[in-house]
Amino acid sequence: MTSTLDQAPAPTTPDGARARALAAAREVVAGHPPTEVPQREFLEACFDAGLAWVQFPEGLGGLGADQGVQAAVDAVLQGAGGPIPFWLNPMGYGMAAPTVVAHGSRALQERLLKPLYCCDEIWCQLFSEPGVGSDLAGLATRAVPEGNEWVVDGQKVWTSSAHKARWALLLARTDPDQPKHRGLTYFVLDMHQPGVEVRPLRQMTGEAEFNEVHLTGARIPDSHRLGEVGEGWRVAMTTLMNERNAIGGGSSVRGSGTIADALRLWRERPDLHTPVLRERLLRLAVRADAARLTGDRYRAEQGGRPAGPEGSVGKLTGAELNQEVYELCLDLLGPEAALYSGYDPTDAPSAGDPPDLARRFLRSRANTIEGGTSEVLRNVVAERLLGLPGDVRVDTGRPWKEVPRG
Amino acid sequence: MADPTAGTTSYDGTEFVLTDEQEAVRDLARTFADRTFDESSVRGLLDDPRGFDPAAWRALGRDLGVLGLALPTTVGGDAEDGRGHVELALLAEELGRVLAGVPLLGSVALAGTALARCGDDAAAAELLAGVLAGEQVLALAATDAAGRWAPEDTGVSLREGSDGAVLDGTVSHVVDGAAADTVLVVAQSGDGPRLVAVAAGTSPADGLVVEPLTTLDQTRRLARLTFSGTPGRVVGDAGSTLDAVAAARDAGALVLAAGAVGASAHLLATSVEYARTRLQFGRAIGSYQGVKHRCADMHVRVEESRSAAYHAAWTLDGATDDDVRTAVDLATVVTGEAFPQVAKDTVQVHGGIGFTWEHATHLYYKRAVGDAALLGGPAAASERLAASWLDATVASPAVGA
Repeated sequence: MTSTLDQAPAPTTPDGARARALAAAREVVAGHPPTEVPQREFLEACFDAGLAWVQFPEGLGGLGADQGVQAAVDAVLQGAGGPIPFWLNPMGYGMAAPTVVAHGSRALQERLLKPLYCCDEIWCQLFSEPGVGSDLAGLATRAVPEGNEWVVDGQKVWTSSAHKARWALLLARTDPDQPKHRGLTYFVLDMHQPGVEVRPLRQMTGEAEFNEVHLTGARIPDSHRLGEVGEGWRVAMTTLMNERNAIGGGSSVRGSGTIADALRLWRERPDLHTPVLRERLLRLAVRADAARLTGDRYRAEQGGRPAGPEGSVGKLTGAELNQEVYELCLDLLGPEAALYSGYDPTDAPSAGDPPDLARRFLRSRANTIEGGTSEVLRNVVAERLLGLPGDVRVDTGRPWKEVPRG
Repeated sequence: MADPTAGTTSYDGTEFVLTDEQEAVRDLARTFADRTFDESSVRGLLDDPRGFDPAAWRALGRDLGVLGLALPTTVGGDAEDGRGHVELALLAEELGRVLAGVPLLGSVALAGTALARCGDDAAAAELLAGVLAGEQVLALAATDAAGRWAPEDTGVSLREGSDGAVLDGTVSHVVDGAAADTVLVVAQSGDGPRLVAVAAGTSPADGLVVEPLTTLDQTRRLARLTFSGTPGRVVGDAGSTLDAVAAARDAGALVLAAGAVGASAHLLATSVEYARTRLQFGRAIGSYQGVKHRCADMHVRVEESRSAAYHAAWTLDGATDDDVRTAVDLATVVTGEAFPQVAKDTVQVHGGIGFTWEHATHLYYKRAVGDAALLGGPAAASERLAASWLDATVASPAVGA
């Protein structure tokens, strides 16, 4: 947005910021109708108007507004047929961007955010390793300083989009003599370099949605470090809270999201109806709506505050709900549920195909593991939100290199 | 609104965000509830024949002035443009948190709303004046002789006697019925259901027998009322009766749902405190995942209850795009499942002490069970939601991928 001397100053009240954001959104959809112009043009217009992440600073895809305004903006943009940006570049939009804004230099922010939002550059996240799932802080990938660079060796796993990613969020160990949380540092890694090898990882659905990433002498300029050396855990918390919010945040339209698959099946296939399944579907629809309203309430109450542990509630309920929704779909399908569209990776449906419920059913098993297992999330809710004491730990205070692993 | 995919709730940025005035109502109600109702005063009312604290009722009406928050100015309340339900929910939540012995449900939510919608503001204002001052108690009798919510046919008949209208029949499970100074009875006449105000309390109308019932939830009193040629005063329009009673049930369901939020939140806080301080095997029991994860699930249920109840309040205020019936039924179903579960979890977290008479948990558990039996409860609400969301015959375009 430009401003000249004869324009009224930008309103600063919450209502004013909201009105200004909504006006900008209407201007974007009028000037760049998302159903008519190329997607990139629409996304660039959104970014330039500060509608990518309204809570970000101006010039970085935001307006400095309350985060709660985003939902109203999205309703305008998506109501006109615009894409849901999260799904275009999930690790980028939902996790990398908030982390870069919170912890990156201005130069890095200006270099990375716009190509991220416009999907010129896809992002991935190099956190999990074969040896650490829930115990992320115990990771073993090493980063060693060398001049103005860091040299990275190790293996990461469960990396979605790694094969198409230009950038990765990397958490690596920089001091093995410190206790595990204190020896980590956070980086932005260029995936396009010889020291990075991506291998697909096949999953129970038959596809390879995730990858293993082998890092062998990969190099990172020190200017791509986010936060101080040894502060990586604190930076990673920004990413993880945003990840859980992004996964659990959900939609504010009743009957959308995963439950839509079950409702559509129910509507389209009256031959499958039974009283028992009707009751199950009603219960799931009620739970989905309660979760949806809770997401709306948290966004409204959160205002401009950064994401916190309350996002764990939505991730926890959403994951378990997804699984039950697809279990119901398969129970509805009866004998049809015994068949599968094919385990060859080329059998995977493409965009526009009808929903492959059996595939989504199998895929949903990962929902209670990825992005924080339900066990870890219940710990987060109980310890961070309710203040219950932590479990007994045997590794705290010991140097990372002395902690048993396996 | 036959289809959930059609029932979109546009996010308007104000739902769920309390105004300064609403926060003041909540703070006032919380301070009042904490100061007025501790466990011993709640227990003291269990054996009180009236079942409520008249001094607390007076304080709410006269001193705090909060009983008319959701009743329109045309009948003496404070609400403009049909609003005030968020304030009513906040009040009910705080009173529910302490199981306050006051007849908010029967007097204000049920009878008050029915009167406000009956089509005769002057009569409504006259009958409500004593309630708004906290001096009187009203009850709404829209149940049948078995206690089922049945405004279309309560089984009470209205006929013209020599000196005006008289009633015959029996209704049961009348909320606050034994404490009421006036009972508003839904009676069947030749013109369909009518609202009839009958004097009760210390100078009851002729032929009225009020029997207090022994209730599972001793903190919420119910009564059976028998009318035998009992004189009453017909109020409002014949055509407004069922709409007025339906609105009363919506407000009543909101008060139950919001009260469940307060009570569930209290139970969660109690459980967390106990899990933090009770030691077994040398550690706080809340450090074990078996207990900790139960508490986490309780938290999720409380949060979802709050979202659903508040959404119903904002929807009743006309501040969302949702359908009132859907929003209220959703709140009933969500809180109707969560409150008993949180109460059962509270018993479990507390172990043996949670099963004793001395511990307050059973009072909350019984409140949860008792509430589910009122106004049709979660069972009828679930059936309406299923009919609306799942049984619609006309397919509509799907939303979402």
